[in-house]
Amino acid sequence: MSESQAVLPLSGDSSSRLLPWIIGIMVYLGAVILAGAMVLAAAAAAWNDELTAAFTVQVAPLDGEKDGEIETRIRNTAKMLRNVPGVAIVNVVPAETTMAALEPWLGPNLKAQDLPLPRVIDVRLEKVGAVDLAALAKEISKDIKGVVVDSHEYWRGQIESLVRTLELLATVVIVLIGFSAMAAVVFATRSGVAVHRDVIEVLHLIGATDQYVAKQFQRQAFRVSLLGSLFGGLLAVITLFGFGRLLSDLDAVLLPAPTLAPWEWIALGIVPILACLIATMTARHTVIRALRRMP
Amino acid sequence: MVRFENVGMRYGAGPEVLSDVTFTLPPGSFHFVTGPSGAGKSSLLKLMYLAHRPSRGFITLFSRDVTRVPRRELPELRRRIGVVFQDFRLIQHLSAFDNVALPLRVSGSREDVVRKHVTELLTWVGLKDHLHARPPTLSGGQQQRIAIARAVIAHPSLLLADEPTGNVDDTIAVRLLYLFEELNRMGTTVVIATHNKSLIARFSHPVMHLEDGELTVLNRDAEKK
Repeated sequence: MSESQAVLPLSGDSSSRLLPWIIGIMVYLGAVILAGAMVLAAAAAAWNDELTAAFTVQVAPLDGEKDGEIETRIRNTAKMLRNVPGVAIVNVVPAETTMAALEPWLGPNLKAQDLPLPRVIDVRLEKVGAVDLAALAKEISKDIKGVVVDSHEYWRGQIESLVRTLELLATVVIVLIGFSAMAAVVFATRSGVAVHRDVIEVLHLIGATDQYVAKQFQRQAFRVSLLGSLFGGLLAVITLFGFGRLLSDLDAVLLPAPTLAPWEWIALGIVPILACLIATMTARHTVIRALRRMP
Repeated sequence: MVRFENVGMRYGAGPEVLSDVTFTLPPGSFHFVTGPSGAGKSSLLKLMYLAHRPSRGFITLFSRDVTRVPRRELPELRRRIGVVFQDFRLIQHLSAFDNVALPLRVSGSREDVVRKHVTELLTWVGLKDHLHARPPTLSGGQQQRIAIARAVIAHPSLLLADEPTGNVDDTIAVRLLYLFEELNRMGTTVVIATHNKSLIARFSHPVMHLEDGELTVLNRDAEKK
C-alpha cells in the first residue's frame, strides 16, 4: 500500500455507494437548467434585437374620412419614412394581411371596411438605434394626422422582465441544487467519520494530523463526485442534443434554434468540475470540524 | 521525560478514576504499572499517550506541559510515543506490513525507507512470511507482535504497553519483556501496565501500583516492604 492508498475503507461505506448517484443527478439537473437559462437568454437577446431594429407605424382611420384618403396618408407616411436616414425597409402591410391575422378571432366574413382598423407600416432599420424614434414620431404627427409610432418598447420590457425572472429562478434552483449536493456530502462524510471512528482514533494516536485523516475523505469525495459528475454531465449532454434535435424538427416561430456558443459549452463543462470541487471541499471542511471534537 | 503532578482524571461527568497522581519518570527508565482490574492502569496510560486530558493537575511530557498544549501540536508529540494497546487496535483491512508502516507514513517517510524498515522489523519479530496477511487471519500472538512492531517502528522516545502479555503464554510473555528491555537499552523510556505479578517478579524494574485510582507504591523496595 502506498501513502496514496486508503487507510480508511471509505469506498465500502453504503453512503459512499449512493453519493455518486446523488452527485450525478445534481450535476445533470444543474447542467440542464444552466443550459436552459443560457438558451433562453440567447433567445431573448435575439427577440430583443429584432424588436429594437424595427418599429411599426400605425395609420388610424379618421372620423369622416372619405374612401381613398387613408391610402393617401399611408403613401405619404411611407414616403416620409423612406427618406429618413437609417431606415432600411419600409413595408406597407396590406389590409388583407391584417384581416387575415384577425380572422381566427373575428371570423371569415369580415370585410376590411367593416372595422375602423389602423393600417400598419413595418419599418426595418439599418442598425439598432439608427433612428431617433421620438423625434421621428413628432415630425410625422406634425405633417400627417392619425399616425402613431410604436417602438415595441412595451414588448421589449415584457420580454426583459420575463427573462430576468427566469434567470433568477434558474440561479435559485442551481444554488439549491448545490446546497443539496453539499448536504449529501456532509451526511456521507459525517457517517464515514462515525463508522470509522475507531480507526481514526488509532491514526490520531500514532501521530496522524487532522489534515492526514481529512485527505482520506477528500480523496474519496473527489473520486465519488468525479464518477457522479461524469455520469450526470454525459446524461446532460445527451439530453441537450436530444432536445436540440427535437426543437430543430419543429416549425418553431417563437423559439430560435437552441444552440449553445462555445463559451456556453465551456460554462456547462465547469458544472461537473465545480461539483467535484464543492464535494471535495465540503468533505474536507466537514471532517476537519468533526475531528476537532475528537481528542 | 514524564512528570505527573496531582493529576486527576474523570470520564465525562463520572467519578474520578485517577486522583492526585504524582510521579516522575526519568528518560531511559523502565517501569511497570500494576494494580487490580479497574484500578486505573489504562486511564493512566491514556493520559500518557495523550488520548485524554486530565481533569486537574499537570502533566509534563518531553518537557512540554501537555495539559495546555494546543490540539494542533499533539500529533508531533504523539509521534514520539509508541503504544501497544490492550486490544492491539490493528486496522483490520490493512495487511501486517501496512499496519506497521502507518506511523512512518503519517510522519511522511519516503516509501523506500518504509519498505526497508517495516520488512526488517517484521522479520525481526518473526512475521516475515506474513507481511501481506490481514490481522483477522493471524493468531492473537502474531497480532500482538504486529502491534508491538507498529509501536516501535518509528523509534519512539516513550513506549507504553497496556497488558501486552495478556494474550500470550508465559514463555512468549517473557520474550516480549526481553524485547522491551532491549528497546529500553537503546534509550527508549518504557512503561508497561500489567496485572501479571509473576511476570513483574522476574524483572527488577520499578513498579507503580495503582489502587482505586490512587498511586500507592512507586518502587520495588517500597512494594517489598
